Amino acid sequence: MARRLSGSASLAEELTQDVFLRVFQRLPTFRGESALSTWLHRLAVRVIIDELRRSRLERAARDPGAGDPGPEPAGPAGIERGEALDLERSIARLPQGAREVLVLYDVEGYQHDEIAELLGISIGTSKSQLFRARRMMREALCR
Amino acid sequence: MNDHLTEEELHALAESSSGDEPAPHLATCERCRRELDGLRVLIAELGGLPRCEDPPRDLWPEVEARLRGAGVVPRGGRRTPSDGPAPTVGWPLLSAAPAAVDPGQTSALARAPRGTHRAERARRVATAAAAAGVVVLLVAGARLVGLPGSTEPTAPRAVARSAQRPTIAFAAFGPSEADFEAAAGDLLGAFEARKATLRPETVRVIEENLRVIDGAIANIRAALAADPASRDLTFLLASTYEMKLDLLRRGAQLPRAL
Repeated sequence: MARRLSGSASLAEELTQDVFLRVFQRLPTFRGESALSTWLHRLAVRVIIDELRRSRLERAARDPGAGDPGPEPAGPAGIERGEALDLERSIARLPQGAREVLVLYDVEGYQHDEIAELLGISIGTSKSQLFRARRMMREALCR
Repeated sequence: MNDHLTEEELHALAESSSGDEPAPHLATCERCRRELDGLRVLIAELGGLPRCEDPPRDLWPEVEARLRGAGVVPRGGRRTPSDGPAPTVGWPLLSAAPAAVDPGQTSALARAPRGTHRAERARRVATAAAAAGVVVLLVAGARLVGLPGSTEPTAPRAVARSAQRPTIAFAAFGPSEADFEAAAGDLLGAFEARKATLRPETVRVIEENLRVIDGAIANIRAALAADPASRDLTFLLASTYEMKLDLLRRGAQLPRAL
């Protein structure tokens, strides 16, 4: 999940460490109101999303020009042409917001209202990001 | 062809089961049918991606260093070659957790599968349930290493002492295991007496988690039988027992109708 959400294997290693650290720190707050597994997974998603956002903000603050990837591409232009794209590579090439929603919805099985809460977006945005991500995936995979 | 299906309609149809009423428009529109078929294939492929994968290398040394650096686990007691291999930490532990023990309602991930992937999802839920035992082991360790802010009463004294000494061997832990079992038996009795006043789904969640923990305990004991001197396994066994006690304690203390 960390690798898919971040689009980077090396970043996923750091995120995994972050998740474990947070889990150990937060364990006393687990109240048994849901399955431990559910609590763990939600915490992991939150840590990963928060860290990804924080690192993007830091990049932008360090170098507002080059560090900021700018607005996400509106269409499949964000996916390189001419490459043999498989599913995983296509996911990794999606814009961050679209990738997060697609991974959480289509791979991890969250619902739009849950994704909206986790990502701090509206349900409508979650849906539109999903549609966009699927559209980009299809176009990339059909090449 | 005018009045093509909207994007939202196409995605809704693609996620619906094959037995649902098809849109009449599809009967006459090749373009929308093609779009729908493509979406269904993509959703099926994404839903079939493995949620667990091994990391490219052992991540535990870094995790352990950060835990020690953050004061979450005590310093000292470093691993030595005689301790055997370190536990492997990887994506499976993160991705296995969600669907593990609550396939009905409280799990966000184990809800009814979409589309044509019910069998695959069900298989992954079962796989994840097994892996969740490992998650419990790692998480449970924190209970016995002095997590800040925990005001819960701890395990029996002998057990707590054992767990705080990472050099203890399984042979030395043996007598304490009886303490754990006795305490667990008492708490289980209290929980059983309390069950009738709790909501069925709450009882189900607790009992499912107990099954996961018991499975983890069985796995560790089997590993310890093969490697009785392992400090890590001894520590994990004590930690897992502690988690079981904590869960039972919470279950026995829940207010009515929770």
